[in-house]
Amino acid sequence: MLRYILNRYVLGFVALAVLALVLISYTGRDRTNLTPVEKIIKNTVTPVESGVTRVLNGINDIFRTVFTIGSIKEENEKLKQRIAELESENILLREYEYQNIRLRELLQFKDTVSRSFDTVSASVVGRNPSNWFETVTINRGKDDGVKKNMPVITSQGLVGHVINVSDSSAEVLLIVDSSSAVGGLVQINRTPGVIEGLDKKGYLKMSYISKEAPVREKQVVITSGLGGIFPKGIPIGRITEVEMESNGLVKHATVRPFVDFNRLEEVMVIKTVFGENGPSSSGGGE
Amino acid sequence: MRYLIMTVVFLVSLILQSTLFSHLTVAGVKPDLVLIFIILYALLHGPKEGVLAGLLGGLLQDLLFGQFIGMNALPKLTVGYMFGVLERKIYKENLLIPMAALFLGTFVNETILYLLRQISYLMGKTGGISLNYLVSVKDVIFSTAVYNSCLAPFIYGKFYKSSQKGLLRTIDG
Repeated sequence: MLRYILNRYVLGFVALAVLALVLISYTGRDRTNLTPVEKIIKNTVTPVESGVTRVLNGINDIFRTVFTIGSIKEENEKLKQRIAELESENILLREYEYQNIRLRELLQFKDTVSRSFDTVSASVVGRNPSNWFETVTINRGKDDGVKKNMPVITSQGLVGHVINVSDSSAEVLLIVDSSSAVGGLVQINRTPGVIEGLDKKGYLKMSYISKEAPVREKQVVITSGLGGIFPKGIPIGRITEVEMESNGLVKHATVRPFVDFNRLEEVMVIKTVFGENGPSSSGGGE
Repeated sequence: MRYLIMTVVFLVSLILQSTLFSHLTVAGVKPDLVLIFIILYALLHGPKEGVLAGLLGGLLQDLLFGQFIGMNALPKLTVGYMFGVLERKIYKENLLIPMAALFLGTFVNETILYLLRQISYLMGKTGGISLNYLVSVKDVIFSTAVYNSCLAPFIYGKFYKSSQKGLLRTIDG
Protein backbone atom coordinates (compact mmCIF):
# COMPACT_ATOMS: atom_id res chain seq x y z
CA MET A 1 0.00 0.00 0.00
CA LEU A 2 2.71 2.45 1.08
CA ARG A 3 4.84 1.49 -1.90
CA TYR A 4 1.92 2.12 -4.21
CA ILE A 5 1.37 5.61 -2.79
CA LEU A 6 5.07 6.41 -2.86
CA ASN A 7 5.43 5.37 -6.47
CA ARG A 8 2.52 7.41 -7.68
CA TYR A 9 3.50 10.48 -5.69
CA VAL A 10 7.19 10.16 -6.43
CA LEU A 11 6.36 10.15 -10.13
CA GLY A 12 4.11 13.16 -9.79
CA PHE A 13 6.67 14.98 -7.72
CA VAL A 14 9.49 14.28 -10.17
CA ALA A 15 7.32 15.43 -13.08
CA LEU A 16 6.54 18.72 -11.33
CA ALA A 17 10.17 19.21 -10.35
CA VAL A 18 11.27 18.75 -13.96
CA LEU A 19 8.54 21.14 -15.11
CA ALA A 20 9.80 23.75 -12.64
CA LEU A 21 13.39 23.33 -13.85
CA VAL A 22 12.27 23.78 -17.48
CA LEU A 23 10.35 26.92 -16.50
CA ILE A 24 13.37 28.29 -14.65
CA SER A 25 15.63 27.79 -17.63
CA TYR A 26 13.20 29.49 -20.02
CA THR A 27 12.48 32.50 -17.85
CA GLY A 28 14.90 34.78 -16.07
CA ARG A 29 16.15 38.29 -16.28
CA ASP A 30 16.98 38.15 -19.98
CA ARG A 31 13.27 38.12 -20.81
CA THR A 32 12.05 41.27 -22.50
CA ASN A 33 8.44 40.90 -21.45
CA LEU A 34 6.51 39.42 -18.58
CA THR A 35 4.12 36.60 -19.41
CA PRO A 36 0.43 37.65 -19.57
CA VAL A 37 -0.30 35.68 -16.38
CA GLU A 38 2.38 37.56 -14.47
CA LYS A 39 1.09 40.88 -15.82
CA ILE A 40 -2.49 40.20 -14.75
CA ILE A 41 -1.44 39.10 -11.27
CA LYS A 42 0.93 42.02 -10.79
CA ASN A 43 -1.65 44.51 -12.00
CA THR A 44 -4.24 43.23 -9.53
CA VAL A 45 -2.00 42.87 -6.51
CA THR A 46 0.00 46.11 -6.77
CA PRO A 47 -3.00 48.38 -5.90
CA VAL A 48 -3.74 46.19 -2.86
CA GLU A 49 -0.13 46.37 -1.73
CA SER A 50 -0.22 50.09 -2.30
CA GLY A 51 -3.27 50.38 -0.03
CA VAL A 52 -1.79 48.23 2.72
CA THR A 53 1.48 50.18 2.62
CA ARG A 54 -0.41 53.47 2.86
CA VAL A 55 -2.40 52.28 5.88
CA LEU A 56 0.74 50.95 7.57
CA ASN A 57 2.65 54.17 6.93
CA GLY A 58 -0.29 56.10 8.38
CA ILE A 59 -0.31 53.99 11.55
CA ASN A 60 3.44 54.34 11.78
CA ASP A 61 3.18 58.14 11.54
CA ILE A 62 0.52 58.33 14.26
CA PHE A 63 2.62 56.26 16.65
CA ARG A 64 5.68 58.28 15.91
CA THR A 65 3.86 61.57 16.56
CA VAL A 66 2.43 60.38 19.88
CA PHE A 67 5.71 59.07 21.20
CA THR A 68 7.90 61.97 20.15
CA ILE A 69 5.77 64.97 21.12
CA GLY A 70 7.82 65.53 24.31
CA SER A 71 11.14 65.74 22.55
CA ILE A 72 9.88 67.94 19.72
CA LYS A 73 10.31 71.21 21.63
CA GLU A 74 13.88 70.40 22.51
CA GLU A 75 14.52 69.25 18.98
CA ASN A 76 13.10 72.51 17.65
CA GLU A 77 15.67 74.52 19.59
CA LYS A 78 18.46 72.32 18.34
CA LEU A 79 17.21 72.58 14.77
CA LYS A 80 17.11 76.38 14.89
CA GLN A 81 20.70 76.39 16.00
CA ARG A 82 21.57 73.90 13.31
CA ILE A 83 19.92 76.04 10.64
CA ALA A 84 22.07 78.97 11.63
CA GLU A 85 25.19 76.81 11.39
CA LEU A 86 24.16 75.42 8.05
CA GLU A 87 23.37 78.85 6.64
CA SER A 88 26.85 80.07 7.34
CA GLU A 89 28.27 76.85 5.97
CA ASN A 90 26.07 77.24 2.92
CA ILE A 91 27.48 80.67 2.14
CA LEU A 92 30.99 79.28 2.34
CA LEU A 93 30.06 76.37 0.09
CA ARG A 94 28.46 78.69 -2.45
CA GLU A 95 31.70 80.58 -2.54
CA TYR A 96 33.50 77.33 -3.29
CA GLU A 97 30.90 76.50 -5.91
CA TYR A 98 31.52 79.76 -7.80
CA GLN A 99 35.22 79.17 -7.56
CA ASN A 100 34.68 75.65 -8.84
CA ILE A 101 32.68 76.88 -11.82
CA ARG A 102 35.34 79.40 -12.69
CA LEU A 103 38.09 76.79 -12.48
CA ARG A 104 36.10 74.33 -14.57
CA GLU A 105 35.51 76.90 -17.27
CA LEU A 106 39.15 77.71 -17.13
CA LEU A 107 40.15 74.11 -17.69
CA GLN A 108 37.34 73.53 -20.19
CA PHE A 109 36.14 70.61 -18.15
CA LYS A 110 33.07 68.86 -19.20
CA ASP A 111 30.70 69.52 -16.36
CA THR A 112 29.18 66.17 -15.68
CA VAL A 113 27.13 67.55 -12.84
CA SER A 114 25.20 69.92 -15.07
CA ARG A 115 23.86 66.95 -16.90
CA SER A 116 20.28 66.57 -15.83
CA PHE A 117 17.85 63.74 -16.00
CA ASP A 118 14.25 63.41 -17.06
CA THR A 119 12.73 61.49 -14.19
CA VAL A 120 9.40 60.13 -13.02
CA SER A 121 8.82 59.78 -9.28
CA ALA A 122 7.36 56.63 -7.80
CA SER A 123 6.41 55.18 -4.42
CA VAL A 124 7.69 51.89 -3.11
CA VAL A 125 4.63 49.74 -2.47
CA GLY A 126 6.20 46.41 -1.58
CA ARG A 127 9.37 44.51 -1.01
CA ASN A 128 10.27 41.04 -2.19
CA PRO A 129 8.91 38.59 0.38
CA SER A 130 11.95 36.35 0.05
CA ASN A 131 15.15 36.89 2.00
CA TRP A 132 17.19 36.05 -1.07
CA PHE A 133 16.10 38.77 -3.43
CA GLU A 134 16.51 42.45 -2.66
CA THR A 135 13.89 43.89 -4.96
CA VAL A 136 11.09 46.40 -4.45
CA THR A 137 7.85 46.99 -6.31
CA ILE A 138 7.10 50.58 -7.35
CA ASN A 139 3.74 51.99 -8.41
CA ARG A 140 4.82 53.23 -11.84
CA GLY A 141 4.91 51.06 -14.94
CA LYS A 142 4.68 50.99 -18.68
CA ASP A 143 1.81 53.51 -18.62
CA ASP A 144 4.14 56.09 -17.08
CA GLY A 145 6.94 55.44 -19.55
CA VAL A 146 9.00 53.19 -17.31
CA LYS A 147 11.01 50.62 -19.22
CA LYS A 148 13.27 47.73 -18.35
CA ASN A 149 16.85 48.62 -17.31
CA MET A 150 16.05 52.23 -16.40
CA PRO A 151 18.13 53.44 -13.44
CA VAL A 152 16.37 54.28 -10.17
CA ILE A 153 17.69 56.90 -7.72
CA THR A 154 16.71 58.96 -4.69
CA SER A 155 18.04 62.37 -3.73
CA GLN A 156 20.67 60.52 -1.66
CA GLY A 157 22.01 58.32 -4.41
CA LEU A 158 21.70 55.22 -6.50
CA VAL A 159 18.95 52.71 -5.71
CA GLY A 160 19.05 50.17 -8.52
CA HIS A 161 17.52 49.46 -11.89
CA VAL A 162 14.20 48.29 -13.28
CA ILE A 163 14.18 44.57 -14.10
CA ASN A 164 10.61 44.09 -15.20
CA VAL A 165 7.58 46.21 -15.91
CA SER A 166 3.85 45.67 -15.97
CA ASP A 167 1.29 48.32 -16.94
CA SER A 168 1.12 50.02 -13.57
CA SER A 169 4.04 48.62 -11.60
CA ALA A 170 7.70 47.79 -11.95
CA GLU A 171 10.19 45.66 -10.09
CA VAL A 172 13.46 47.33 -9.10
CA LEU A 173 16.59 45.29 -8.38
CA LEU A 174 18.39 47.10 -5.56
CA ILE A 175 22.16 47.50 -5.73
CA VAL A 176 22.44 45.61 -2.41
CA ASP A 177 21.12 42.43 -4.07
CA SER A 178 23.93 39.93 -4.43
CA SER A 179 23.16 39.52 -8.13
CA SER A 180 23.54 43.22 -8.88
CA ALA A 181 26.71 44.69 -10.37
CA VAL A 182 27.35 48.38 -11.06
CA GLY A 183 30.39 50.06 -12.55
CA GLY A 184 31.77 52.34 -9.83
CA LEU A 185 34.43 55.02 -9.47
CA VAL A 186 36.12 56.45 -6.39
CA GLN A 187 35.24 60.11 -6.80
CA ILE A 188 38.44 61.75 -5.62
CA ASN A 189 41.04 59.64 -7.41
CA ARG A 190 38.93 58.15 -10.25
CA THR A 191 39.82 54.54 -9.36
CA PRO A 192 37.38 52.23 -11.10
CA GLY A 193 35.86 49.08 -9.63
CA VAL A 194 32.74 46.98 -9.68
CA ILE A 195 30.10 47.57 -7.02
CA GLU A 196 28.32 44.42 -5.97
CA GLY A 197 25.77 43.52 -3.35
CA LEU A 198 27.31 41.84 -0.34
CA ASP A 199 25.84 38.93 1.58
CA LYS A 200 26.43 41.02 4.68
CA LYS A 201 23.11 42.77 4.72
CA GLY A 202 22.91 46.37 3.58
CA TYR A 203 26.53 46.81 2.56
CA LEU A 204 28.18 46.86 -0.87
CA LYS A 205 31.47 45.46 -2.04
CA MET A 206 33.70 47.30 -4.49
CA SER A 207 35.91 44.72 -6.13
CA TYR A 208 38.70 44.62 -8.72
CA ILE A 209 40.53 47.67 -7.34
CA SER A 210 44.14 47.59 -8.41
CA LYS A 211 46.71 46.96 -5.68
CA GLU A 212 48.42 50.35 -5.92
CA ALA A 213 45.27 52.45 -6.10
CA PRO A 214 45.14 55.15 -3.39
CA VAL A 215 41.75 54.02 -2.11
CA ARG A 216 41.07 54.90 1.53
CA GLU A 217 38.25 54.84 4.02
CA LYS A 218 35.65 57.63 3.88
CA GLN A 219 36.14 58.23 0.17
CA VAL A 220 32.97 58.60 -1.88
CA VAL A 221 32.06 56.16 -4.64
CA ILE A 222 30.00 57.22 -7.67
CA THR A 223 28.77 55.44 -10.79
CA SER A 224 31.26 55.24 -13.61
CA GLY A 225 28.77 55.19 -16.48
CA LEU A 226 30.32 52.03 -17.86
CA GLY A 227 28.02 49.12 -18.56
CA GLY A 228 25.29 51.11 -20.24
CA ILE A 229 22.57 51.09 -17.61
CA PHE A 230 23.61 53.76 -15.12
CA PRO A 231 24.62 57.29 -16.13
CA LYS A 232 27.91 58.63 -14.82
CA GLY A 233 28.25 60.53 -11.58
CA ILE A 234 25.41 59.25 -9.39
CA PRO A 235 26.59 58.94 -5.78
CA ILE A 236 26.57 55.37 -4.44
CA GLY A 237 28.15 55.36 -1.00
CA ARG A 238 31.15 55.85 1.23
CA ILE A 239 34.01 53.40 1.72
CA THR A 240 34.18 51.97 5.24
CA GLU A 241 36.92 49.37 4.87
CA VAL A 242 39.63 48.47 2.37
CA GLU A 243 41.08 44.97 2.28
CA MET A 244 43.64 43.14 0.16
CA GLU A 245 42.24 40.14 -1.71
CA SER A 246 43.76 36.84 -0.55
CA ASN A 247 45.58 36.40 -3.88
CA GLY A 248 47.45 39.66 -3.23
CA LEU A 249 46.72 41.05 -6.71
CA VAL A 250 43.69 43.23 -6.18
CA LYS A 251 41.96 45.01 -3.34
CA HIS A 252 38.32 45.24 -2.43
CA ALA A 253 36.46 47.80 -0.37
CA THR A 254 33.31 47.66 1.71
CA VAL A 255 30.96 50.50 0.83
CA ARG A 256 28.09 51.79 2.94
CA PRO A 257 25.41 53.04 0.53
CA PHE A 258 24.05 56.58 0.95
CA VAL A 259 20.53 55.30 0.43
CA ASP A 260 18.89 53.67 3.46
CA PHE A 261 17.40 50.61 1.83
CA ASN A 262 15.34 49.73 4.91
CA ARG A 263 13.41 52.98 4.64
CA LEU A 264 12.90 53.31 0.94
CA GLU A 265 9.65 55.19 0.28
CA GLU A 266 10.00 57.61 -2.63
CA VAL A 267 12.26 56.96 -5.59
CA MET A 268 12.87 58.48 -9.02
CA VAL A 269 13.17 56.52 -12.24
CA ILE A 270 15.52 58.12 -14.78
CA LYS A 271 13.79 58.06 -18.15
CA THR A 272 16.15 60.18 -20.20
CA VAL A 273 19.68 61.39 -19.70
CA PHE A 274 20.52 64.78 -21.21
CA GLY A 275 24.15 64.38 -22.19
CA GLU A 276 26.48 66.71 -24.01
CA ASN A 277 25.36 65.12 -27.24
CA GLY A 278 21.68 65.82 -26.71
CA PRO A 279 19.14 63.70 -24.93
CA SER A 280 19.48 59.97 -25.08
CA SER A 281 16.89 57.57 -23.76
CA SER A 282 18.10 55.42 -20.91
CA GLY A 283 17.27 51.76 -20.59
CA GLY A 284 14.64 49.92 -22.57
CA GLY A 285 17.32 48.65 -24.91
CA GLU A 286 15.31 45.74 -26.21
CA MET B 1 -12.76 24.78 -2.01
CA ARG B 2 -9.68 24.36 0.14
CA TYR B 3 -7.45 25.20 -2.82
CA LEU B 4 -9.31 28.47 -3.18
CA ILE B 5 -8.82 29.15 0.52
CA MET B 6 -5.13 28.24 0.32
CA THR B 7 -4.73 30.58 -2.68
CA VAL B 8 -6.24 33.41 -0.67
CA VAL B 9 -4.06 32.50 2.34
CA PHE B 10 -0.95 32.54 0.13
CA LEU B 11 -1.85 35.86 -1.51
CA VAL B 12 -2.53 37.52 1.83
CA SER B 13 0.74 36.09 3.19
CA LEU B 14 2.70 37.42 0.23
CA ILE B 15 1.19 40.88 0.53
CA LEU B 16 1.82 40.94 4.28
CA GLN B 17 5.35 39.71 3.77
CA SER B 18 6.15 42.37 1.19
CA THR B 19 4.63 45.20 3.25
CA LEU B 20 4.16 44.62 7.00
CA PHE B 21 6.94 42.10 7.57
CA SER B 22 9.50 44.30 5.82
CA HIS B 23 9.20 46.40 8.98
CA LEU B 24 9.31 43.39 11.31
CA THR B 25 12.62 41.88 10.33
CA VAL B 26 14.54 39.99 13.00
CA ALA B 27 18.31 39.68 12.49
CA GLY B 28 17.77 41.13 9.03
CA VAL B 29 15.35 38.49 7.78
CA LYS B 30 11.61 38.26 7.40
CA PRO B 31 9.67 35.04 7.91
CA ASP B 32 8.44 32.99 4.97
CA LEU B 33 4.72 32.80 5.74
CA VAL B 34 3.94 30.93 2.53
CA LEU B 35 6.45 28.23 3.41
CA ILE B 36 5.05 27.96 6.94
CA PHE B 37 1.57 27.31 5.56
CA ILE B 38 2.87 24.81 3.01
CA ILE B 39 4.73 22.78 5.63
CA LEU B 40 1.85 22.79 8.11
CA TYR B 41 -0.60 21.91 5.35
CA ALA B 42 1.62 19.07 4.12
CA LEU B 43 2.04 17.69 7.66
CA LEU B 44 -1.72 17.46 8.02
CA HIS B 45 -2.72 16.37 4.52
CA GLY B 46 -0.03 14.12 3.07
CA PRO B 47 2.36 14.19 0.11
CA LYS B 48 -0.07 14.79 -2.75
CA GLU B 49 -1.68 17.78 -1.11
CA GLY B 50 1.74 18.91 0.10
CA VAL B 51 3.21 19.01 -3.40
CA LEU B 52 0.18 20.82 -4.78
CA ALA B 53 0.23 23.40 -1.99
CA GLY B 54 3.97 23.89 -2.52
CA LEU B 55 3.47 24.33 -6.25
CA LEU B 56 0.59 26.76 -5.76
CA GLY B 57 2.34 28.91 -3.14
CA GLY B 58 5.73 28.91 -4.85
CA LEU B 59 4.28 29.68 -8.26
CA LEU B 60 2.21 32.58 -6.92
CA GLN B 61 5.34 34.04 -5.34
CA ASP B 62 7.25 33.60 -8.60
CA LEU B 63 4.54 35.21 -10.68
CA LEU B 64 4.29 38.15 -8.31
CA PHE B 65 7.89 38.86 -7.42
CA GLY B 66 10.10 36.46 -9.31
CA GLN B 67 12.57 36.88 -12.08
CA PHE B 68 12.78 33.16 -12.74
CA ILE B 69 9.43 31.43 -12.76
CA GLY B 70 9.86 28.23 -10.78
CA MET B 71 12.70 29.46 -8.58
CA ASN B 72 10.44 29.47 -5.54
CA ALA B 73 8.06 26.77 -6.76
CA LEU B 74 10.69 24.03 -7.00
CA PRO B 75 12.03 24.24 -3.44
CA LYS B 76 8.54 24.73 -2.02
CA LEU B 77 6.98 21.75 -3.75
CA THR B 78 9.95 19.63 -2.70
CA VAL B 79 9.48 20.64 0.92
CA GLY B 80 5.71 20.09 0.59
CA TYR B 81 6.39 16.58 -0.62
CA MET B 82 8.98 15.82 2.06
CA PHE B 83 6.75 16.75 4.95
CA GLY B 84 3.69 15.24 3.31
CA VAL B 85 5.42 11.87 3.40
CA LEU B 86 5.79 12.27 7.17
CA GLU B 87 2.05 12.80 7.60
CA ARG B 88 1.20 9.34 8.89
CA LYS B 89 4.29 8.93 11.01
CA ILE B 90 3.94 11.80 13.44
CA TYR B 91 1.82 12.87 16.39
CA LYS B 92 -0.02 15.88 15.11
CA GLU B 93 -1.09 16.99 18.58
CA ASN B 94 2.42 17.76 19.74
CA LEU B 95 3.42 21.37 19.06
CA LEU B 96 7.12 20.55 18.99
CA ILE B 97 6.66 18.51 15.81
CA PRO B 98 5.53 21.41 13.58
CA MET B 99 8.19 23.64 15.12
CA ALA B 100 10.92 21.14 14.30
CA ALA B 101 9.38 20.58 10.87
CA LEU B 102 9.39 24.32 10.16
CA PHE B 103 13.01 24.63 11.20
CA LEU B 104 14.10 21.69 9.08
CA GLY B 105 11.81 22.59 6.17
CA THR B 106 13.08 26.15 6.04
CA PHE B 107 16.62 24.85 6.01
CA VAL B 108 15.87 22.54 3.07
CA ASN B 109 13.88 25.20 1.20
CA GLU B 110 16.56 27.87 1.59
CA THR B 111 19.33 25.44 0.68
CA ILE B 112 17.62 24.51 -2.58
CA LEU B 113 17.03 28.20 -3.26
CA TYR B 114 20.70 28.84 -2.57
CA LEU B 115 21.70 26.09 -5.01
CA LEU B 116 19.34 27.38 -7.73
CA ARG B 117 20.63 30.89 -7.24
CA GLN B 118 24.21 29.67 -7.42
CA ILE B 119 23.49 27.66 -10.60
CA SER B 120 21.87 30.64 -12.31
CA TYR B 121 24.90 32.71 -11.31
CA LEU B 122 27.34 30.12 -12.67
CA MET B 123 25.35 29.85 -15.90
CA GLY B 124 25.69 33.61 -16.28
CA LYS B 125 21.98 34.36 -16.04
CA THR B 126 22.50 36.81 -13.20
CA GLY B 127 25.43 39.08 -12.45
CA GLY B 128 26.93 39.86 -9.09
CA ILE B 129 28.87 37.76 -6.68
CA SER B 130 29.05 34.09 -5.85
CA LEU B 131 27.53 33.40 -2.45
CA ASN B 132 29.29 31.27 0.12
CA TYR B 133 26.99 28.60 1.59
CA LEU B 134 28.30 28.86 5.15
CA VAL B 135 27.97 32.64 5.12
CA SER B 136 24.45 32.26 3.74
CA VAL B 137 23.59 29.82 6.50
CA LYS B 138 24.89 32.25 9.08
CA ASP B 139 23.28 35.38 7.60
CA VAL B 140 20.01 34.19 6.13
CA ILE B 141 19.13 30.53 6.40
CA PHE B 142 19.53 29.95 10.13
CA SER B 143 17.73 33.12 11.19
CA THR B 144 14.87 32.48 8.79
CA ALA B 145 14.52 28.92 10.11
CA VAL B 146 14.39 30.13 13.71
CA TYR B 147 11.94 32.94 12.87
CA ASN B 148 9.66 30.56 10.98
CA SER B 149 9.59 27.92 13.69
CA CYS B 150 8.90 30.56 16.34
CA LEU B 151 5.74 31.55 14.46
CA ALA B 152 4.41 27.97 14.58
CA PRO B 153 2.67 28.26 17.99
CA PHE B 154 0.61 31.22 16.73
CA ILE B 155 -0.55 29.50 13.59
CA TYR B 156 -0.60 25.77 14.20
CA GLY B 157 -3.57 25.52 16.58
CA LYS B 158 -6.05 27.25 14.30
CA PHE B 159 -4.64 25.53 11.27
CA TYR B 160 -4.96 22.11 12.92
CA LYS B 161 -8.57 22.71 13.94
CA SER B 162 -9.49 23.95 10.50
CA SER B 163 -7.89 20.90 8.90
CA GLN B 164 -9.78 18.51 11.16
CA LYS B 165 -13.22 20.08 11.19
CA GLY B 166 -13.16 23.40 9.38
CA LEU B 167 -12.79 24.68 5.87
CA LEU B 168 -9.50 22.99 5.08
CA ARG B 169 -10.58 19.42 5.90
CA THR B 170 -10.20 16.75 3.28
CA ILE B 171 -13.17 14.54 2.50
CA ASP B 172 -11.94 11.16 3.60
CA GLY B 173 -12.57 8.52 1.01
